[in-house]
Amino acid sequence: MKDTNRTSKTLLILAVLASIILPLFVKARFMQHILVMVVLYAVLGQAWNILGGYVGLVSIGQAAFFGLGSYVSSYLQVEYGINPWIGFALAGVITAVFGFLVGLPVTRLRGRYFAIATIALGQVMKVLFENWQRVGAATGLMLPLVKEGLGTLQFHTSKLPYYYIGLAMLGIIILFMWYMERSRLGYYFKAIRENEDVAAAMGINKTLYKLIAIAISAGITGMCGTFLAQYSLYVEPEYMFNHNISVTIALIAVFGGTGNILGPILGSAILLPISELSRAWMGSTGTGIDMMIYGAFIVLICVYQPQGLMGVVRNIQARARAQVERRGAHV
Amino acid sequence: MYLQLTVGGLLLGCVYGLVAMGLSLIYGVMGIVNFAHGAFVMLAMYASFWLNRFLGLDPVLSSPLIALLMFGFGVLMYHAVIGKVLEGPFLARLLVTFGLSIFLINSAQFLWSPDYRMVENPMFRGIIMLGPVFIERPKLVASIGSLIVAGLIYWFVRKTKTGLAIQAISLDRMAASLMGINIERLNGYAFGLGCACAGAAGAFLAEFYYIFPDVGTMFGLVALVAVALGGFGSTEGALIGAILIGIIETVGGFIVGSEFKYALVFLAYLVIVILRPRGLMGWGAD
Amino acid sequence: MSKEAKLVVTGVTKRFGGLLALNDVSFSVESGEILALIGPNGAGKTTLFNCLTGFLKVDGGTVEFNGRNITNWSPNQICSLGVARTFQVVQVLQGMTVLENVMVGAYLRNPRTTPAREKAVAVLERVGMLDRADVLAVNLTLPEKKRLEVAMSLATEPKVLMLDESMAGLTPTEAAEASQMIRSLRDEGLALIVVEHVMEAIMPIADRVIVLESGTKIAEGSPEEIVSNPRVISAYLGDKYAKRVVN
Repeated sequence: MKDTNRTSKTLLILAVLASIILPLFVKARFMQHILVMVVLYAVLGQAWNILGGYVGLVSIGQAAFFGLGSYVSSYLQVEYGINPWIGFALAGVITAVFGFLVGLPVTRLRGRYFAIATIALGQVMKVLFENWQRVGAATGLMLPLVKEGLGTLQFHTSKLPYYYIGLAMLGIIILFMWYMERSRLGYYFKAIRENEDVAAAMGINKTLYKLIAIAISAGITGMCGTFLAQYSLYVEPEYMFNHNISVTIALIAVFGGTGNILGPILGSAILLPISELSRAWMGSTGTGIDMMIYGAFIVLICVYQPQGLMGVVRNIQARARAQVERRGAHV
Repeated sequence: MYLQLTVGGLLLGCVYGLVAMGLSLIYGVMGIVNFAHGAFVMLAMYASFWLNRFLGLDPVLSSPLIALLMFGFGVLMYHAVIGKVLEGPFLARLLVTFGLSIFLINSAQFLWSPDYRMVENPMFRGIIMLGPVFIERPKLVASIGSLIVAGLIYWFVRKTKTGLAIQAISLDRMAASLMGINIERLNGYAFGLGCACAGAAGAFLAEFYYIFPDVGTMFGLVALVAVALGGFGSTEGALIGAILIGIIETVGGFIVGSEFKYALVFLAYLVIVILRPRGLMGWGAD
Repeated sequence: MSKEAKLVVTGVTKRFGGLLALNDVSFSVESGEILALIGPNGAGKTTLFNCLTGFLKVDGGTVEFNGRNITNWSPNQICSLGVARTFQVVQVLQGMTVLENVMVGAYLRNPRTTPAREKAVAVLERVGMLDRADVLAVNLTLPEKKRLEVAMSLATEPKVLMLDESMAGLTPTEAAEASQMIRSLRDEGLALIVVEHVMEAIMPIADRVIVLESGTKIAEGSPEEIVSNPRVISAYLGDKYAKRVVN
């Protein structure tokens, strides 16, 4: 037991060091881009995981929060010249409040009714922003190009600074989730997922905790929206509220495995490169073959790997443990 | 004016209803929310288009053939994909059809380009006047056709031996299997039937609607909302929900502006489901 | 650990459509008392539990706890106040370990993890399940799950504990252990309401018994009074048998 603890600690330290140092050697802009997308979606996957993996409310409409967050900071910047860091924080607060308010009615729904409600929410938000003249309607907003730097949250010469900012976000959310897993909040979330009646009988205010979960999830997702807006320097409804964002986020969690911290990171680290690379190699002709591969991949995962990668890891662990026990029995 | 709009919504709702009925059937029997249903409609529209292009067959006339083709396609899809995830976790069951949808839509784009197409010289054109209301003939044909197919499916499920066996599965899987019902095969039929509904609807739509790879997405989502409105598992509910949505879409779209019509449909879903968490007539749990 | 507590139920009525599931049921229970709630299948025992704990809304009547009207409060509020329950069909958090299950209960009075874990360990020791602490609840046997359910309820530190058929399906030895446990909880000052289908198990330990039939309270009294009450006998065994016994 102690040994496995030590090895996992060593592995953790190695992984952290690798995620900090190795990207420094990545010079190709496209490869840097993939790194940025991996950390961004790892954060998005974690945010989804809080709601879907721990509380058990499966959202396929995270783009609603993502898009809203991207517009909050962008609009403030374009219209009032407000620094994107302030926009970043406000995006978090506003989308969290939005998530809470939306959650008031929506968290009463269960299972697929909730899932479809989130799809509906994503579509409604997209249509609203497509027709809202003040924020540029369907054409969206272009962010002003300014001098690059940490203060302006714009970087032109290299994409790596974005990567490190994303990595920092990921680090913070992992710390939060590590704490959550060991606190009343995490236990209550899981209790609600496992059995709502038991949760209520244990004195848990399930409505309140579901709202907390959706607010946290929405807030983080909204901040990710700001991040992508600063990264691509424009926002438009078709891009920021795209349904595929919602599906990809959910898929990452499924692929990696839900209800644990490592799952979304693994999911993102494998899925995003596949999606980005297939787009780069085959998507340039505009034929849709990249998305074909992506779609086929989703189907294959669901059919052959429905427990997620963490499920595989756990199976291997269990098998190893059983073997050790068997050997122990022989002795 | 409102009478005019309501009639338009009613006609649209009948076509939605057929799509929704297929969805509802699939959900009722195997608990799968088929997000690829819209893509099936799209495939059927393309099939009608090509039959028209190469054989000169009008979509309305080819609708039985298309339905049959889609039935076969559905059975195939069931045994290749859907049947394999039925025992899997909730998320896998939910997302697999998303993947299928993305795959099919982009396959269409790859094979047939993203261009908009239309059937040339459709058999049914123009409008007819019915008192103060004018009705577009192809839409009338589509809605009547949809109702006929919906009626046929309803009859099949309620009255034939195979249909009753399918119903038995949706009521109690375990018991059905103990009674010697071959669940795998019948699930395949049920999925095929659901696809046939999408197929027939697609053929009717091809008569008057643009055809492009993404055309089915909105039909699929709207049908999904119709099913949820009616209550998952209730076929009649799906039809009623669909007609309701058709009317909300046309009448509401006229009032608040047609760019908001789908937002309105989804808002209606949110409001109704929040008031009645299991839909208007549903008995299905989550 | 618990102060004097009193749960007073007055005229509780519940309808499901046209069916009168509970008809004007009144009773009370106090600290240091075991109240047995018996009755044939479908008499409304579980419905009554659900009404008292907020899982169902009552159509009439009141539930008071220490003088406070808690009628139709939500389940979590009622639990927070000190009225805990178990379920007829055993309900545990399947995907979590035994210890985690009990910790979920313990968090109610101990918001921080370390005290909550200590509390959970103490409760598990008390019900004799400490050796199963790291087992996933889904892997427990049925009697173990029932015991876990009691442990979870106890971890919320209730003043009134309502047990719904926690002895059904137990072997005689296990049932005897359960009886012993219920008795010791009473001696610590808990008020217990125990629903039991099996009369033999509950009669020896009950201080007072109420009998439900078709949603109506048909008798209340000491166990001795109840077993000789003709209405009760006829409810359980049919009229013919009742006459024979009385004669």
